[in-house]
Amino acid sequence: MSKVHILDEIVLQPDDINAVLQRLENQYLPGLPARHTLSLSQRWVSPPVRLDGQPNTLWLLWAVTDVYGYYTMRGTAGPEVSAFWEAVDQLCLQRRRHVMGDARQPLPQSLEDA
Amino acid sequence: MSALETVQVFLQEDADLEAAETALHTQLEAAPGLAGWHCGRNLEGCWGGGQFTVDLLWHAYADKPAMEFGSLPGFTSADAVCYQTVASGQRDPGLRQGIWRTLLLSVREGVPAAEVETFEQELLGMPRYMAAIRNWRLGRVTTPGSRWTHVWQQEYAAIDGLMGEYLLHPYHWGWVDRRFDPEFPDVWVVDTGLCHVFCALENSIIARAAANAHPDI
Repeated sequence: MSKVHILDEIVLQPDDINAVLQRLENQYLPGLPARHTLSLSQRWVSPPVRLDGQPNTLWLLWAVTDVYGYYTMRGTAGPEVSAFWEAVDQLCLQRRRHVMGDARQPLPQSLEDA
Repeated sequence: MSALETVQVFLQEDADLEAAETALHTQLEAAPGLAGWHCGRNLEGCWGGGQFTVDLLWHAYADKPAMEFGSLPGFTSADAVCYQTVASGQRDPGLRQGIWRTLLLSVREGVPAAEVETFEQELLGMPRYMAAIRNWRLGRVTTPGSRWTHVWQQEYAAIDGLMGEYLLHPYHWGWVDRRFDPEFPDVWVVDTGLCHVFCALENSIIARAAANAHPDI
């Protein structure tokens, strides 16, 4: 079974990027040892420059060991997880989460179409 | 109009399950107004439910009484919900010796009706991708005051269908599961408290209900 990746897309003002990253370090990441199938792979920002009157997007890429690990990750989220996102939602303009599989794998189809 | 009802029966931890099961069967066999019933002992790996799942199909003409389980040995409580079918399907109406899975869920307050319907269609899309789901039924809870809003039931030929294809298919973890996950801010619709139970199935419950020739089952 291949890894599953999760991508958080957080649109926010450039002044708030560090606040979110600090909360990530202090509030979310300490809970990861208990959620042993989840790890943070990357923290990116786009555009990688401060522009007048324009927000940036913070991208957090997470790796999950496999599909069974995905359910483990879901079932081990403690109260710090919701507290973190509530705080982020106070800071950001928009937020979405994406769950992703390996693009080299054929996409499963409905049984009627297969 | 026929009524469908599903019940989680909770017993004390040290209850005599054999004795309770026998008493349940005796009670169900004698209950007036039932067109059909099924009683299954919840298997290891369930959560949020009791020790037994009881499914009741009430006759259309029956003035459905509230079924009392208080006399069962070791009884503590029962969580019973009536529901109306949104949609159901059968691939294997002759299924025998399978697995009956029930998921009780509650859509969060304030979710717009259109979003609820979209979510329902996403759930009902699962059998289109998973051959292991042999028969299925999605119902909306009609019992006033219930903590649950929906009943999502499936029948499998074997436990591997539930623990294997159902869990592992990307349509589940990569699509429908987002509806259950508070970390997805834009699509999360289901409260985190769930009742996920499964038990042995002798014959298809869904096919039996459909054979009762009522348009709602």
